[in-house]
Amino acid sequence: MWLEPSYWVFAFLTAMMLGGCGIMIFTRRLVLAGFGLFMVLFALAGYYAMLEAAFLAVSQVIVYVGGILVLLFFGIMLTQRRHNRPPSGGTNRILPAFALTSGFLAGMIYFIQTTDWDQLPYVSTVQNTPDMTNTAHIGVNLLTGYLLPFEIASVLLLIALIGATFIARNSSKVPS
Amino acid sequence: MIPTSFFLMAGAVLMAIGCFLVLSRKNLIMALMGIELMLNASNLNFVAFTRNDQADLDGQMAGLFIMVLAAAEITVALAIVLALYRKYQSVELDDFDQLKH
Repeated sequence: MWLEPSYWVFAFLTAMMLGGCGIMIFTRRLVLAGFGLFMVLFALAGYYAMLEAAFLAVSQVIVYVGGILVLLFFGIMLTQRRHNRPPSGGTNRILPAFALTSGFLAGMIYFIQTTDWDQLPYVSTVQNTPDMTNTAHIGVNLLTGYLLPFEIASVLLLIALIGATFIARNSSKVPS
Repeated sequence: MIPTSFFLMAGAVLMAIGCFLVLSRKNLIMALMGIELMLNASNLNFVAFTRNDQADLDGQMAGLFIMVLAAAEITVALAIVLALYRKYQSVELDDFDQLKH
């Protein structure tokens, strides 16, 4: 069972994800951390492809890697000064944060391991053979059952765009 | 087929690491990256549970809308970061202490 190729792909993606997370945790340089985030997001796109979610895998690459990451890099570039103060070293937060999150992680791992997620009651009741391809299915969903959230999402994006422009404008240069 | 619990494990680790970054980092942009990690971890869980329920793809729809919300959130958050930088000349979370005094 362990020699199936899908396990190797999973192991590769996990290594990529953990490597990216390691870079984000251990570096103090923001651009390097952005690169770690890039690795994590790409590995997640691979996970989505393995989980038969082709449309989400492509959306992940386009929206996160192509959009959100570029925005973050702009944020990094616009706020870093060359003569930044030496990185504040203080470890005062790292230990409590580590204790809290490792407890959190231990709890999550305990609950994940005590349940057989592939034998839950709902799995046996649904019919698991889709009659459309993944993308066609999502398109039909967006225009039928999910029409209202879809429209609200478009309005929300417009509001976010206008609001972000309003917040980030340079108010001293606005002619009054 | 890889058991769903493997993906849930990966999501749990990602959630914990994002939480750690948010709690431990002093830089505002690093904290935002941690929030992105946590959003992605929850998204991975949605997609992982949908694999066993390809009939109506509810989880993948949720994942799609989470992605849209994340895009809107990061836009507004970065605008706020820029406004804060203009006011305080810094993006360190410890410097934003005006309400304390």
